[in-house]
Amino acid sequence: MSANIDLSIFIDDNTINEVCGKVSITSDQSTSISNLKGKVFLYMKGKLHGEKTLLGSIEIADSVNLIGGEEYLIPFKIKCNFNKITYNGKNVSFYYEMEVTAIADEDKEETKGLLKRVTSFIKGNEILEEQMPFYVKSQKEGYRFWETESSLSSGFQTEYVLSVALIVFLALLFFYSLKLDMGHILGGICFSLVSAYLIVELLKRLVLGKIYFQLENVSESEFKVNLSNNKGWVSINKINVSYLILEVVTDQRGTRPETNKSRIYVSKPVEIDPTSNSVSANLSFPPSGLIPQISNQVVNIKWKLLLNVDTSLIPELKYEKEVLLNEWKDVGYIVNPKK
Amino acid sequence: MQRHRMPLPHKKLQTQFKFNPFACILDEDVHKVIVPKIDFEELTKTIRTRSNILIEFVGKKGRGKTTHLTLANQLTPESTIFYLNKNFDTDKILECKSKIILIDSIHHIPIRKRNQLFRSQKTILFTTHHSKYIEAKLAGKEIVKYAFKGLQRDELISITNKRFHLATKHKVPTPNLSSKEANKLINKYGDNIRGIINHLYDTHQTS
Repeated sequence: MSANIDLSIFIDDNTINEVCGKVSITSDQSTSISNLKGKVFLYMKGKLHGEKTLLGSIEIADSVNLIGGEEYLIPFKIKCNFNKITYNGKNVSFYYEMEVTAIADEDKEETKGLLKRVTSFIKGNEILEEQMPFYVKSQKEGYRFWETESSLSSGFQTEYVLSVALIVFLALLFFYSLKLDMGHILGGICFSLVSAYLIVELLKRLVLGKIYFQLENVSESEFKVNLSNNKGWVSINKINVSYLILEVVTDQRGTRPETNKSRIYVSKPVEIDPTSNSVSANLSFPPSGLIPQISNQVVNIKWKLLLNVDTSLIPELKYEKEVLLNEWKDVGYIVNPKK
Repeated sequence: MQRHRMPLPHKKLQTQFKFNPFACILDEDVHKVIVPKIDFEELTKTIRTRSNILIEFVGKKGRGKTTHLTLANQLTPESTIFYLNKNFDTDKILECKSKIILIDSIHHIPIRKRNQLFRSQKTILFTTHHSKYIEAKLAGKEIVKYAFKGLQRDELISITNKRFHLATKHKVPTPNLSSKEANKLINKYGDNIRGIINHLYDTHQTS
């Protein structure tokens, strides 16, 4: 008869820069295992070329003699840095895993079949293996913006420009008796589109002027957006301020790279009355510790400030601007979800 | 109150899976999930015995060319693999001393350098959207083509079930893709395996 050996991993909570805990080993018969090792990995997986990084490893025990039916608890401590928090986004996930391996010192062929049926399983010929994920939460409470003043620029007003272009084109037909041959019609369409674009841009400059914003960190859970305009706010009916957080992941697998952009957080818009003295809005940050700061070649978490401006002349003007958080290095601590 | 669209990271990982089965596959796990479209024994024999030959994996994007190239690299440790992108310094390939060179996305190499590379006394295995038959002949090289086209229902079921198996936690039963679901996916995406995998990634990531 060969032994059923069961490996389990227990990881302690609230440790920083180290993974501590115990490996539990039980066997239904007396036997021994050797080369008990522990490793900690950080995984990056998703719609991209994945990575598995070894953060730390240790030999937990050289050999362990097991008496059938008894549980053996062997402590371990592995030094490693958690500079990324556990994150499960739309296109990418970062997660940690502890892996324990050992060699079963008994009849390999018989053990192989039996061990597959218990918690541990055979990898290759004679290796017992067990994994345990653990979760790393940021020590940082809340977020803080880089407090800068910047201007906002609006996107292209497709619908509005096309509406104005249609009016210009109809006016050309009516007032200048545009000839209905292909050359004149194409020329008229081009002229109408260019004129409409210029009219809309001119209206925006005359009526709205340039909108500036300044971010102010109020507390760890709240920030303030202060708006100013060199033309004043007379022609503006209302302004809605919000922000969104985008996850941008570049998939470099295969012969053509692809970029996946997903909104991972959208705040509720706050309406500002432009007739009030203070043209500003207070917005809440998302719950702390959920959204990591990542900015590299393949993964980017971007925050964007959004403004929806409603004027009497131009409806629904949309402004968008990327805003930066104060840089911090995420230093995480372990939170065991089982507890 | 703010809308919070992102579920807590802890919650989503506590499913029957250790990770999303349709997330990228690490190089070390490629052999566990691949359903070979080609005979790897024959391929490695060709690479090793017929020196100075070109071998091309031809197909549209998302058909598994890169995955097969990665496994070919693992099966021939004496080879050197290059995953190219638009910023890659292609001179590194010309300077490479290895006799067997594997290149993903050969279109990133300018045609003049490609000709120079094809004329070198090396065995080159590469992925491409369009066959390089004419370029090979101009360089006086023999070329072997492996076409990556078509996807059978059973093949798709096998691919997805292998991924489910790799991602499922111990003590938990492994799910299977049904024939009905496989047919639906093939009807929608055709033989675009990456399209299917990305679709399944999204459905498993948000569940």
